[in-house]
Amino acid sequence: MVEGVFVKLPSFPFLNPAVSPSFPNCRLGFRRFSASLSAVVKEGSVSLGHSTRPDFPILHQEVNGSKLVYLDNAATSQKPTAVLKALQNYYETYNSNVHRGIHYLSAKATDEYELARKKVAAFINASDSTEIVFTRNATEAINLVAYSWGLSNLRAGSEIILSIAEHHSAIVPWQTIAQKTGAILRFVSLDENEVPDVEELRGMISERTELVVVHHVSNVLGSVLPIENIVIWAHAVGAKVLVDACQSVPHMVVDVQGLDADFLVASSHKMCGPTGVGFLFGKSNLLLDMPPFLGGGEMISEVFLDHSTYAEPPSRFEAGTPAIGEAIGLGAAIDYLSGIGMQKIHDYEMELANYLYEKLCSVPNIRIYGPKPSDNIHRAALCSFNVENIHPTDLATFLDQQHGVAIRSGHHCAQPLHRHLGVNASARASLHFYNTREDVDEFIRSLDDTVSFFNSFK
Amino acid sequence: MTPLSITTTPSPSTLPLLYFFDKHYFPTAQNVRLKLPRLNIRPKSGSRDFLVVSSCSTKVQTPSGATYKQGVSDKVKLLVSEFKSLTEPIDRVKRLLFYAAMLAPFDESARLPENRVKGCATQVWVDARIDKNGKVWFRADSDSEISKGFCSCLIWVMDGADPEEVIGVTAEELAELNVGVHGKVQSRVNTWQNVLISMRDRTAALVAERHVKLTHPLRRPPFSSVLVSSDGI
Repeated sequence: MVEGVFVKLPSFPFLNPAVSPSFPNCRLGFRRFSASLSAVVKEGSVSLGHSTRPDFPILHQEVNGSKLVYLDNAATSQKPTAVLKALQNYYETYNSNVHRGIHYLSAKATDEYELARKKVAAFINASDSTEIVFTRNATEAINLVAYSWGLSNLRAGSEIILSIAEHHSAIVPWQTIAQKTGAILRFVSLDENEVPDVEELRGMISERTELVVVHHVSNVLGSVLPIENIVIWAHAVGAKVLVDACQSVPHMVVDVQGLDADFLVASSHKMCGPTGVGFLFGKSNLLLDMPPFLGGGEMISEVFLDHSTYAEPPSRFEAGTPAIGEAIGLGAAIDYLSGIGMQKIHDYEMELANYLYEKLCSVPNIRIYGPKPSDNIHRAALCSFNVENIHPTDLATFLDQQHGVAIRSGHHCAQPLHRHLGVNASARASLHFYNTREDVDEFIRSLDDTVSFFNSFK
Repeated sequence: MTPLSITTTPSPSTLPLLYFFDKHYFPTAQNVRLKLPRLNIRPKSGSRDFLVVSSCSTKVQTPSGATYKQGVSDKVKLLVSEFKSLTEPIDRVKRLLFYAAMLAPFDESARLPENRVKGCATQVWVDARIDKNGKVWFRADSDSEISKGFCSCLIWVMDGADPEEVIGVTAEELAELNVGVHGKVQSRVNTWQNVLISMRDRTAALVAERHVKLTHPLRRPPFSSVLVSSDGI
C-alpha cells in the first residue's frame, strides 16, 4: 500500500485501493458525486461541446436517415476546419520537400514542418524540439523504440514489464524483440477496481527490469495510471519507462518533464490532427545513443558503398520524405487545442465522462468495464460495456443502421484484456470535447431501443 | 428440393419468402409450427413496413406438384434480389435477424477451435460434411444474431450442393447483399466474406480427403495467422 503519494498532474489523485467495486458496478453513491461535479458548469452557459461543434463540419450530417452521433473518438477524432485549411493551404501554396531544397517553397515547407515539431514539443513540455521524432503513428513510434533502443539494450534475462490492458501496439513489438534478444515479458494484472494493479507493478520492478511499458489512459477501461510514481520506481532500478499517451495527450495536460518519462508516444489522428503522422518523445541522451530504425535518405550523414554514418536525432529516425503536410496539420491541431486550453477540455470531458457513466448504468443488464468513478478515481470519457445476451456487434450495427449512432464493437486492440475479463468483445462509446450531453442522451435512448429490439427476439 | 410457401399476416410490400423454406433446410418440416415474435418496429420515413408477423404459429404448406432443383448460383441471385428489394439498410439487418431465428440448433460439441471462422469480430463456428452422394452439408452458429443470420443465408444457398458449386461462390456476388458493414471492401469485420471463405475451405478440404479433382483453385484466406512465440515466428 503506497501512502501519501500524489500524482502532480492536476485532477488525478492517486488511486484509492480502498474503494471497492460492485458488479454490476453502479452504486447510488455515484449519483451524489456526479451531481457535485455538474454544479461546476454554470447554469445557462454554453457548453464546450456546443461552442466547438460548428468547427467540425463532419459532425453535421445524417447517417442512415438519422443525425450522426459520433462516439468513436478513441478510435479516431474529428478535425476542425482550422486543420483542414492548414492542410489545404500547404498543398495549395507551399508544398515542397523538406530539408533538402534551397528554393523558396522548400524553405517555407521546412520552416513550417520544423515549427510543427516545436509546437509538439511545447504541447507536451519537452525541453527541446530535437526530442520529438515524427513517425507515421504511435504504433510506429513504439516499434522504433523496440527495434532501435530495444535491440541494443536488451539481453537474455532482461525483463520488460507491461500490463494486460496494453494496446496490441504496445505488446506485439516487444514480443518480437523478446524473441530476438531473449528478454522476458512480465504482465501486471488488474486489481479489484478493474485497473492495472499498481502495487503488483511496483513489486515486479527489480534489478532485472530494463523497461516498463504502460498506458497513461486505457482505451477500454477508461482508467488513468499514476505515471509519475511508476517512473520513480523504475528509475530507482535503472529501468526506462515508455508511456503510451494516445488516449491522454488529446484529452488532458501531459507534461513529459513533470512525468519524467523516458519515451512517450501519441498519434495525431486522435488529437484532431490528420492521420499519417504521430510522434515519439525520447529524452535527448537516450535518442543520441540509439541506432537508426529505418534506413534511407534524410537520416544519413555520409553514405559510402560499404558503410554510412548517421545524422543526429531526430533526423536519424526520420528516413525518407516525411508526412510534411500532415505534420503541419498536427501543428494546426495543437494550435486549435491550445486555443481552447487542455485543462478546460479535460474539465469538460470529466463532466461528460461521469454523465455517460451514470446514464449507462440505467440500462438494464449492462456491465461497464473499468473503475467506478469517485472522488479518488477519475475515468476518461469512454465506456466499454456489454449488455447481457446481446452481442456488442449486433448492438453497434443496430445503433448505426437504425439510429445513426457510431460506436465501436470488438476487442479494441486489447485481446489479452478481454480474455482476462472473460469476454470476446465489448462495445465502446468514447467522447471528445465536441460531444454534448445531448449526444449522450441520444446514445442512451438509442441503446435502450436497441436492447428492447434484440430482447424481443429472445 | 421442394419450396414451401408460408402464409403470414399480409404485408403487401414484403417479398414472399418463397425460396427460403424447403424440407432439407427444415428436415422435420412438412407441417412446421413457426413461432415468430411480434416485431416492434418503428418504420423509418420512406421505408416500407417490414414483415409484420403475429406471434401465433404459422402453418407451412407445400404447393402441390411444384418441384424444381435450384443450383447454388440461382440461390445466390434469389438471395441478392430479396435483399436488394429492401431499400433501407435497417430492413436488411432485420431480415437477417429473422433468418437467424431459423438457423438449426448447433451442437455445443461442434464449437471446436478448428471450426472457428478466423477473422470475424464475432465468434462463428462452421462445420461441414460430405454425404455419400458427394453433396456438402453445413451447420453453423455464432454468438451474434446478425452473424447467425449471415450463416443462415449462406447455408441455405450452399447446403446440399456439389462441392464445385460451393467453391465457385465469390465474395463479390455476396457484396450485393450490402448488409451490416458498409461498403464492399475487405475488412476484418466482414463476416459474410469470412464465413464464405471458411465454408469454401472446409469443402475443399473434405473433397481433398476424398481425392476428388477440383476445377477451381483454392483461394488463400485474406488474414492468415502468424504465431509469435519464444520459439520463433
